[in-house]
Amino acid sequence: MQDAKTKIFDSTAIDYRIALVGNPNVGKSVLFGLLTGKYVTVSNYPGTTVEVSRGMYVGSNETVEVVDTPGANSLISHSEDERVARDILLRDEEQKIIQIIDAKNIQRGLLITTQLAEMGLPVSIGLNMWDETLDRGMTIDTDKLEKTLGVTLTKTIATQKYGINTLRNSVSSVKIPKIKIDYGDVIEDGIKKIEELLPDNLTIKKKAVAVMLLSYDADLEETLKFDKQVIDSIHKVRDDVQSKYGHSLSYVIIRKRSEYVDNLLKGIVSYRDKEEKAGAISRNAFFFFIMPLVSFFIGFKVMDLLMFMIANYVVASGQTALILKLAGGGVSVGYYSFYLFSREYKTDRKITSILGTLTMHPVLAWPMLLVVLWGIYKIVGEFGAGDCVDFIESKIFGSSLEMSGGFDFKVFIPFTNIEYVFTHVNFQGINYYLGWLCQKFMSADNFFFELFLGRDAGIIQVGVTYSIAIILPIVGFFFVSFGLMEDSGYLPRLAVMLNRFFKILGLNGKAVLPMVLGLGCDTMATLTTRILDTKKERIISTLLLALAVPCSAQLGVIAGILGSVSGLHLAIYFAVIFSQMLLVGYISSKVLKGTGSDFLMEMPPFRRPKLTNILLKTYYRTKWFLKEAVPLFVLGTFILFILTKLGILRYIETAARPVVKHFLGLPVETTSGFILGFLRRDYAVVSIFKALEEKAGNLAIDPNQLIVALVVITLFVPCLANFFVMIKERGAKTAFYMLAFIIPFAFLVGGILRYILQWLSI
Amino acid sequence: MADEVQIEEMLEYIWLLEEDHGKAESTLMDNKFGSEIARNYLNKMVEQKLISFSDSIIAFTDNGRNRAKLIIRRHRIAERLLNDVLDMSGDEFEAGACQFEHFVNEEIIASICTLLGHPAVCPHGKKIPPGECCTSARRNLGPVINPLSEIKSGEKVKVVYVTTKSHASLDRLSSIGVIPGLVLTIHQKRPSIIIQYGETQLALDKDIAENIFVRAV
Repeated sequence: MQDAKTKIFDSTAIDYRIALVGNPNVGKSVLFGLLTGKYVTVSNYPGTTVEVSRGMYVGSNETVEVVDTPGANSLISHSEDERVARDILLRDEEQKIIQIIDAKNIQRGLLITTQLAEMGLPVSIGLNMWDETLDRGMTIDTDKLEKTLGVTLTKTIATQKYGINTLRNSVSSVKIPKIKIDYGDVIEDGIKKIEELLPDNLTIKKKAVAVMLLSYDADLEETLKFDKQVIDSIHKVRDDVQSKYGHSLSYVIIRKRSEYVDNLLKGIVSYRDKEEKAGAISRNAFFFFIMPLVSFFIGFKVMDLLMFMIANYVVASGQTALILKLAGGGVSVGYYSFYLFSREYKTDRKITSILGTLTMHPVLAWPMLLVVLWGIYKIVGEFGAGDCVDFIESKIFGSSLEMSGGFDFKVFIPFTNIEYVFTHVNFQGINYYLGWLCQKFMSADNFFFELFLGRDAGIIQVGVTYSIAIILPIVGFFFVSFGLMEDSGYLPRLAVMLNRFFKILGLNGKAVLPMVLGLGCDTMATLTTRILDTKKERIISTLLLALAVPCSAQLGVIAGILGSVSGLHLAIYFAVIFSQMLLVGYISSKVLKGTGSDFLMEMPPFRRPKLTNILLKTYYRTKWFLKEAVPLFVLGTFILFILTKLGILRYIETAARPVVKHFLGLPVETTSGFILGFLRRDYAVVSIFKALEEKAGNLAIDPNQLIVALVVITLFVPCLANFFVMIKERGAKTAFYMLAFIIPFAFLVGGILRYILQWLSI
Repeated sequence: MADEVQIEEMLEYIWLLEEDHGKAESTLMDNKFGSEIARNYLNKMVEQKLISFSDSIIAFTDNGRNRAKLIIRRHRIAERLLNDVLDMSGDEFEAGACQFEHFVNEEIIASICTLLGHPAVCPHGKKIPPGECCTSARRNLGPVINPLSEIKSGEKVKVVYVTTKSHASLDRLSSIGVIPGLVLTIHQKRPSIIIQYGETQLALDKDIAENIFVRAV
């Protein structure tokens, strides 16, 4: 894919290349989009760009290729992101650099500028987030800085498209920054010695390479493919220099750079004493109206959820329940207000930064988290997976053999019982019309009719309908809520709160992004495990995603089915899945070789999310999902069709009978569901539920059977798409090992659960 | 007195050999000190029951090990002091530490150790043998320098030195801007430690915070 793209660009006449370089989360991807008109995922979470994107724009008389690089705090590589960014600068010739600096963190941005200058690369600088910088009462004397550095500085606000054209035009006047750092005699001497050892064909200045080599950049030695002899001599020089210092050389070098930048910025950056104060009205509204209301709701809801979980044990009459909930709300208002008024009211902080603090407060953040989760459940689980799915599945798609009966086009006015019906839409469902049309020239038991429109495994009736009517709304709504969490800056705060939990699993807080995304789509989440620092962490998170994180499609169906069992069974289900996640994570963190990494993460500021960005992101994610998932659904249904037609399914069922029937205690008919589980996990849930339902006939399904089946299916192998991604990201060997572990493990846990439930006679 | 210094140097070297190679071969002693001096003093040390020989391998007696431990401790604490606090570099501090170790008594070392917040490794990353002051809970002298993990939230502190085990963590910290001289505020301590400096908020593990040593501003 990547190769193909590059080829296309090579054949086009490109006048020059621009590489966008900068620290993480400074807005490179947004600017990339604005410069090229090409969309790459933009989020308020550091390290989202893992793949290098290339795009082009055609200026008045030139064609320019733009390369978006992953964020890097240093061009001496410590992580994959930084290596990728650095290697682009090493390889591509005749290129110009646009460096994006988060103006409010200009010091760290200039640290990279010093490295670019050392490499001898021509640079133009965009000072992004200029609005946030002003908000914080920070002033930067750009004229003076421009003179000192000798490069063009452009103030930009990428999200408001401010300064984009100026930045684009500044490319014609890129210059090498006037920066010269004196590392001290000993190091300078070492640099000279290494420079002599280096070959002449480097694309960047020798000094920069020498400094990187002195900084223990082992990857660089690989990238540049030096002879062993040269490497040995370089190491000797480095060891000589190192012996003169108490600290590692890389550290000494970074300190020299920092000192240089600090001196440079003296008299250029100044602060006003106070942050810009939020408007008195909105501020008071926040403290006296919004927050009390929100905190009342939080308390009310938390109490509500608590009572739901123990509903079977506490028989509270309507009135008692209401009083308890109101009391919960009252207590919550008390706590939140106490905190806000004692700590925040007198300060001049902005509302968003108060919220940023509140959402990672050791105590107050937890009820908020609970309510956020409840909100996501409402949007994704009830509205998406409930109402939307019902409507699209039964009314829009319908059945090939029966009329859906149409629906009313109506308006419902909330808080009243008034429903105003405009008109009745006499639409009987796409599948019905297709079926009706087909029956004009074939009977309903014709082979082709069954292949496409059959009730059990028709490619259109089951495969396409299922993916679009059931999965799409759920995943779509999930992506909207995920986008909100990402762009507001809530997700990184979640990382802070859950860091300790992830530590048990051998991961750290950073893993929140893939894990939460996994609740939407495990396949996509497995791709994002790349943001984790070490190989070990990536393997553990891939395994846990495959094993214990149910995706939104599956969750939607599971939530629907679990609605029919008691709160106790619901709790058992979640407890089992959660404990297995802990167990497997803990054990693999001990068993697997390699190291984890320490949690070190920058907190982006809490921001009001931009709706357009969220919608755009959801659109691209959904599009990706459709492209990947629908063909697999169709493939899955097709395989099911063949298996049924050839009678193989029955054969496999017979083979699996002992395990399913005697060990799991489930009807044999559910076997096909488990096999299907490999094609789509969520698909399996439905088919097993149907099998249980049919078996039970008019009686209610045995909840124990249901729980056992759901646990096995949840732990079971991920869908085919996920498995392909596992192979792609972790290699075939690792992926197959995981598969070989997960299948028996899922059955084992299911079997044990069955016997425990029996023994406890629940 | 000169004898004592020589013996201490040799004890120190045996310790280093054990640390690096797992055992101390007497031939290596010859290389370092010259065979005559080595033989002469090694015999004296055997007499004083500091070491014993088995074949050509030198082993510490309990007495000898304790003595060597104290010397190593003095040396490495001295390195910390000279390098981090007095900001000496290169040959200067190495030579300083070498003289230091022979003249300073345990009490002073305990005070310096406390002052520095009971550091666990020397600037070269080698382990500093813990002394009584490190293990005992009582702290007569309030340390001036503390690990970041022990600072209360809301306090403003200045980074004095950073001692993480791996280059990678150290480099990552320093490229984000956490280097000696940085003034930062502890934003909160739970569920994770968050520090604030300039416009940057940084969340970090306790494991990392334990390796960032700071003093009150």
